Amino acid sequence: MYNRIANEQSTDSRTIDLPNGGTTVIVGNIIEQGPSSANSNLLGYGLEGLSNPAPHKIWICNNTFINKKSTGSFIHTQSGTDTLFVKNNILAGAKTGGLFLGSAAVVDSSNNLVSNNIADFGFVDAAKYNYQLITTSIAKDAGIEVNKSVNGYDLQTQMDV
Amino acid sequence: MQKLGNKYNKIDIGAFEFFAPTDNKELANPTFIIYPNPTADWVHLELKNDELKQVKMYSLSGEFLQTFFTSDFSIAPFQNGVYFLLIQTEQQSFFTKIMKF
Repeated sequence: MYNRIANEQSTDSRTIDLPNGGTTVIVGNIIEQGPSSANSNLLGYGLEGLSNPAPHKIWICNNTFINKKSTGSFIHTQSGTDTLFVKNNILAGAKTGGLFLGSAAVVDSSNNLVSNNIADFGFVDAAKYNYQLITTSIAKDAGIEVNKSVNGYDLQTQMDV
Repeated sequence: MQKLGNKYNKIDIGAFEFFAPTDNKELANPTFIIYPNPTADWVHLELKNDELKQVKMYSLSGEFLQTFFTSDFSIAPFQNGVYFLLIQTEQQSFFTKIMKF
């Protein structure tokens, strides 16, 4: 929660890799895949088998995903995932492999902003990794309330922190 | 409707919330050094990260006595005692006391 996770110019793999599933909360993060990343998924879930204790639910709210590669996909979940919950996220950049890959029994992915063009979102300076919003950003005031917590973790971002 | 998560009751999409900048300028640390104190004559005022506009001198009863426009000034003509100095800079104003002997 509330991290900046980015590989900038390096050649690492997925930006977030949760190889064995389980209950996962990802809120308020900058998640950036640089142009030289070796893997095309920004976030992988359970891709080495859902061997963690069930349920296999992943909750993804109010994150800014940026794919600076010319190819790729954003979220890849293993077949057998119980819940994929994706709200209030920015998903910026190429999604030649699809926005979401894999499957989940329950998918709730409303109210996200998606565009291949990173410039569409109105970031302050994406080239310098500043993904704060400008006054006229389409993301401004476009979020919805997510009145839910998971294992004590509030899915509603705490903006005043 | 339940109160939303930020002070404006609005939520942005993405990891950042947009907060418009205000006109309030953050003030520099208002540290200053005034010496010697007590003094029989000259007073030296050093400001940190700020520029002096003027110093007004008042008696303890609040009577205005004199204005100085430099950071080095003399209070030799005044009677022994304690005085207030109102130091006005480009960014702020603050009081201090000085003793004349």
